[in-house]
Amino acid sequence: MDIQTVHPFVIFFAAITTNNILLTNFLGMCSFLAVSKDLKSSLGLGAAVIFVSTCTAPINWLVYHKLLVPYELEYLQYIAFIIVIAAFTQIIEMVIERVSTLLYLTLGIFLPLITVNCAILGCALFLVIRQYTFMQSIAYGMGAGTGWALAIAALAGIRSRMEKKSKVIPELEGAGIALVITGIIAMAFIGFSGIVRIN
Amino acid sequence: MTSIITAVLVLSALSGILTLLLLIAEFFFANYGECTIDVNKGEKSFKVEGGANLLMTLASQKLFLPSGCGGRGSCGTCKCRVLEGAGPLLPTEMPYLSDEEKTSNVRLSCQVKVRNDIRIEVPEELLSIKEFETVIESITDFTHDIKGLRFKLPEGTTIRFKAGQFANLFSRPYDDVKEETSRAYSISSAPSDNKALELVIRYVPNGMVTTYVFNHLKAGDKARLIGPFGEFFLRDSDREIICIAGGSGLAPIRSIILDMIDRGISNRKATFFFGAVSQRDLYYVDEFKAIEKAHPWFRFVPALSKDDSDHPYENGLITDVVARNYDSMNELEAYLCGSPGMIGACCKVLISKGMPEDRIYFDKFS
Amino acid sequence: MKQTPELDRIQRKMQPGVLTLKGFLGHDDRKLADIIDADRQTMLAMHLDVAQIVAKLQDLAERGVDLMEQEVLVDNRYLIRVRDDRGKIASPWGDGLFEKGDVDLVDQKTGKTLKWNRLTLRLIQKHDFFGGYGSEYRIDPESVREILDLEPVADEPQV
Repeated sequence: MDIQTVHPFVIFFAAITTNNILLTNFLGMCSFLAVSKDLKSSLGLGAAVIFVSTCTAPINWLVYHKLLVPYELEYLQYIAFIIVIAAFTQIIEMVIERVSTLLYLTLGIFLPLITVNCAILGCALFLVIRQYTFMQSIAYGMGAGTGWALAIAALAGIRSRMEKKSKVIPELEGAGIALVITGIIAMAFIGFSGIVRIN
Repeated sequence: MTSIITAVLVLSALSGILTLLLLIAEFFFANYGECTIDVNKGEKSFKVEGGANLLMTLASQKLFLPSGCGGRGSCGTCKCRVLEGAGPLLPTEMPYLSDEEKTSNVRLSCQVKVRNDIRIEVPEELLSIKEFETVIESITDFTHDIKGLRFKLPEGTTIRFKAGQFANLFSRPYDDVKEETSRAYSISSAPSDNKALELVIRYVPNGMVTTYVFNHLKAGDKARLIGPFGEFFLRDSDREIICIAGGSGLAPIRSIILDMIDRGISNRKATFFFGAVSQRDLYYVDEFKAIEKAHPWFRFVPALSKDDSDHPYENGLITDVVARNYDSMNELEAYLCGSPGMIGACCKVLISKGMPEDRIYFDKFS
Repeated sequence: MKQTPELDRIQRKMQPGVLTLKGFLGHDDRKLADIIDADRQTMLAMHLDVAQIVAKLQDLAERGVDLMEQEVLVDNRYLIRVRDDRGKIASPWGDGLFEKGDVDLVDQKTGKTLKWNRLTLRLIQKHDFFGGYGSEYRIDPESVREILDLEPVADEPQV
């Protein structure tokens, strides 16, 4: 099946489940581990990642296909993508600050940190490698962000529950147990594989 | 070669477009335009550029709310009532506000962003803090190292302060001192005398502002003052009061006593103990003696710690003299002004005589 | 010790007219790092500890305080006078504000004098800074040993 004929809607769901950027590609791990201690801030960061990846995916698609490819400058894609992501994080920061001070303060430092989140860059690089169409790239960006948010929310939920209920051996406390849990969630997500292929 | 040039051009173009986009976004989203801040229901009104927090915006208009952490939202001292235009209460403010404050619109001014017209309410005292370009009316030598200065405020301006507060005096650059420097001095004149300000200044060896005052200032010179500041002033109650001071600490006590006379407070007995080493360190004695004569509620007790000459005053350290004069201080209120050492020693005596600690007031002079 | 940009910055604050009228350095034109090093060497050579000096000076100041600036004879040897000044003075290292109130000491045995305040003690204790040559606030390690009769710290073996 030719990838370009897949409906964007399918890509959106596949990006959340079978091709979850965090649980199958293990991208964006640093902030994933650092901010997953409580549900509230992880949801905030998740929302911010959805924002940024949804906005930057189509723009990076345009930059790549309409600017870099015609001039045969594909090797500059990394720099170009990062510039775009950085600029858009800035704009989104301004917009959020204007629209809702409350959300702005909840997200705090996470917003600018998204600039260096590898999940966002990974998302841009995947849509080039997988040769998505413009519409597909929007769906993929949104799906990748949502998948990332879902994963961090799941981990945060489990971690905050474990904090109250479970006894973890001291050597595994913190990042150690978080990685173990991530592994288990990732294995659970393997259950989705085979439903659809988007790469 | 051409490929390098295209690469540079394309990247520059991309960056340029994004920068343009950022500028446009900034113009639309980060531009809050001119906002009006109304203070205390029309008492004052500022036109300011929106976008910064309320604390800083007010500071730029020379209205200084107290702030311990400099606007990071970690001390909770910059509270003020925002009647209108503050937006929703933020989670960063919650820990510092009581339920009562939350319902009465009290906010942390450093967390409130000025994004539209705002109406606020601040304590009256903060509005009276002003900068004054004064002219020195007179300089009086009180003792060998204490001078009294009288500053005339500019024509048409008045100062409103509570007796006991202090003001900051600025020195102009002189000799090695290359920058304007300011130090705090207690106000010794009465609040009713509001077209001028009197300070009592004692020479501090190696002190930058006192050296300026003693060696460079003369009557007719200009001087810059900011004030009033401070939490040292007469509390409303019916209790008998005891004032203890040494050296230049006489200043705020004089202001308080003069203010009591002006306000006709005669139901409170007041005793002023002034500690000095010898007669040459005493000043304003005649004035206080005259007050003592005219107002039966006031008593002036100078105490000399080391003067063998014949004098009509009490002998001994100020702390001993105070202790001698009272059996119990349960029902009294104390106002102290002097060096930290003197205040500490006096507190010990007062507490040992039964005075509750929360009724001892002194100037921390920060 | 090396004269770092940080020390340069601190030394600028020690100049006359910045934090105090006469500054902290007297007529000393050495680099701050060298001033500190030289006094550290002297202290080491005499087997003295800054804590000894600071504790002794603090104790002497305690005994002269709250006397309305009267001179008092302590230990039948030191004439001490503590000034009652209000206000605070900032440390050049930027690590705090210290109450004013100079202590003047005359040692009747040697005739030597010392002058210090809470800030000078802090600078000795925290930063090994004893003051520049010619500064009236210099606590010279050698003369302070003589004035205070300090004994070498016992547990430091002679090399």
